[in-house]
Amino acid sequence: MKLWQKIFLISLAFVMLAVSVTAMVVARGSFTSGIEQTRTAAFHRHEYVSGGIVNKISFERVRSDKLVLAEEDVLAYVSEVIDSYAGSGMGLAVYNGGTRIDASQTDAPAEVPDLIEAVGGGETCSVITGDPERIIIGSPLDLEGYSFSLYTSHDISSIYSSYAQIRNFIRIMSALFGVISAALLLTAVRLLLRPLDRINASIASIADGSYDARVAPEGSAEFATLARNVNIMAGAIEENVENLTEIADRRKTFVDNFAHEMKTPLTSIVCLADVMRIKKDLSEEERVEYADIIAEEAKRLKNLSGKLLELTVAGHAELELRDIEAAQFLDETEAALAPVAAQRNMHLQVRVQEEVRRERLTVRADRELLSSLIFNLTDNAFKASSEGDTVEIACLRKEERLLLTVTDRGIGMEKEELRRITEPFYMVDKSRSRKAGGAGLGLALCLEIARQHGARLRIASTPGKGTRVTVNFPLSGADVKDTETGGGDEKDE
Amino acid sequence: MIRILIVEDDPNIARTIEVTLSLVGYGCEICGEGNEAAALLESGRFDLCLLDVMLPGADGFEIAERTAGCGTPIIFLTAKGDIMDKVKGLRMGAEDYIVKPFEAMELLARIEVVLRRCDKGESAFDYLDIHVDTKKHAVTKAGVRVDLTPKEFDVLLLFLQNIDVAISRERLLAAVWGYEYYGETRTVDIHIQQIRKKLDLKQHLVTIPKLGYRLERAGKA
Repeated sequence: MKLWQKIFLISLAFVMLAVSVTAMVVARGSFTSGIEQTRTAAFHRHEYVSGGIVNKISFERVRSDKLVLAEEDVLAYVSEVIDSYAGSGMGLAVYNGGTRIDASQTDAPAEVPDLIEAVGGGETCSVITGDPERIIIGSPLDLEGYSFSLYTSHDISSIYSSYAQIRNFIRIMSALFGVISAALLLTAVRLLLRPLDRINASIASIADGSYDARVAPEGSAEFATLARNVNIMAGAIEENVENLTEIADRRKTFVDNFAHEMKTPLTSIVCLADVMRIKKDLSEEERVEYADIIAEEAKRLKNLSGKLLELTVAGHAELELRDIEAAQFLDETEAALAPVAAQRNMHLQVRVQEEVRRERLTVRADRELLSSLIFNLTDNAFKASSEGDTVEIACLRKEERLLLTVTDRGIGMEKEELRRITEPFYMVDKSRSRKAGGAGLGLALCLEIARQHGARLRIASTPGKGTRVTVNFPLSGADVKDTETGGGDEKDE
Repeated sequence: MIRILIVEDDPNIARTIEVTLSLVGYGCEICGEGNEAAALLESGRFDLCLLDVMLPGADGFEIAERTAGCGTPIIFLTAKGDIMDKVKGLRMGAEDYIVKPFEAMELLARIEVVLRRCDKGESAFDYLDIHVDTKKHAVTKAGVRVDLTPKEFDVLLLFLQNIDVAISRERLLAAVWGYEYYGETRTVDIHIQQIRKKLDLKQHLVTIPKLGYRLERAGKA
């Protein structure tokens, strides 16, 4: 059963019960007091009749001048008195023991054995009996030494019938009142509970996926609170869903780009291999050309899978954090990268601030990942530079942080390119980057590594003049604090 | 000669497609930039355009939209296998939509289908003393009419269009019977026997072990 139905039915039942009980009690009270009044009046009349009989007998005895009247005379006088009440609406009878002895014309009261017995014992009693209802009063009557009983009956059916009328009236009024109060209650309950329907509808629409739906906080205080809480919940859901959607979107973009980067080299490999298989006569030049393309594209695939693996490892592997001495680390890096620079006919310069070397400053990092970070940044710098150019790696202390910078004087980047540069698979110059074996994942990898070390990556670039990437590490033991200032064509991550 | 415009920004893929198309003697031109490609298409010099979707300048969908009026049929080449992209491409009036990576024979077969549908393919082939008229669906050998079943005719046509190119049984099945018959390669062998017998091509329609069949260039055998 619905809440409004319950509230409605319970209230209606209480109202009806209260009204009916009150009306019945009042009616019953007035009925009882009516009976009592009539009984008192009936007793008065009874005594009057009884007195009248006694007076008559005394008067007749004095008139006949006898000491005692004979029994026949007494009976005759009694009958005379009783007869005088004929037509008064009151029933009268005189009994001697259990036998009626008057011979009057009036209606005799019905015989009630209990009453007769009680009166026979010398008491004055009354009883209500019969249909139509009458009150019968009996009392002993001693006349001239003889014991009689006098009974009178008084019609009280009008009290009963008016009581029945009142009860009927109460029933009809109750029914009428019930209908009216039902209508009023129904309206009131529905009106009061209406905000609940609205809140329900809103929740349903939120559940259906319209997470931006909100409930208007109207109605009674409880409903307003409920609506506000529902809104808070909807807000939280909306935010979570947005976050999830964003993550899913980013992942989809990543997968799309990855698929694209995979399929491009695969297309040349699959198609050219097929050509080499189905073509009848393949010249030596054709064979070399096709094999070259296949080999080149296969290398691209290899680079892609390697970088992807690094990225996955960087994202999930447990870091082996150690205090690494910056100066020593960069000396090793220089030794490892110098041959690479020489191969490209470029110069590599590593400058470490005297303070860093003297105080043996350290950063807390995973050695493998830190190497990967520097190698990738330097590789990017080489790719942006031309033969004869210099790439510089520098290290200096700035308050409680250690700055590692990789600077080139290469082609640089436009603002728009700078904005997208850390997106996975984004390449500023696709054909140039691909020729150099790039997969477009290097900076995404660097960003991930920096993030894991609590470091910030900042890229500043001017088209035609070069690019500087700064990695901002907290020194070992230092509190991580923000000490960054912005400006220029820069990108902070 | 059929002229095909290859719009593709990756030089290796562009070269690969060019090599593939040269197998059957199509003339090719390569363009790697969107706006340039649109201008070339509008010149109307080409019978077909192979259009990459992701391009610098204007992307493939944009080019297709801009050059919709010039009547050159377009086949999209794309790395995206997304069904929505496929629907979008075909709704823009592209004739076909090929997902990378593709095999050489698949590319050739689908180009052939589009060319024939657009009435740009060859309608008559001569091989030795055999003459094939694709419009009348008629084959004559030394002036005498030879009856081929429709499937036999299609198989013969595929070989004539790809002379000196080995065609695998699977590729034949896919091209002539459709993909639902994939795997039942014996059907192909039976039809090849029939063609060899009816047209006396035993010396020319040769079996290549592990691969399939090849119709050798006339005069060499």
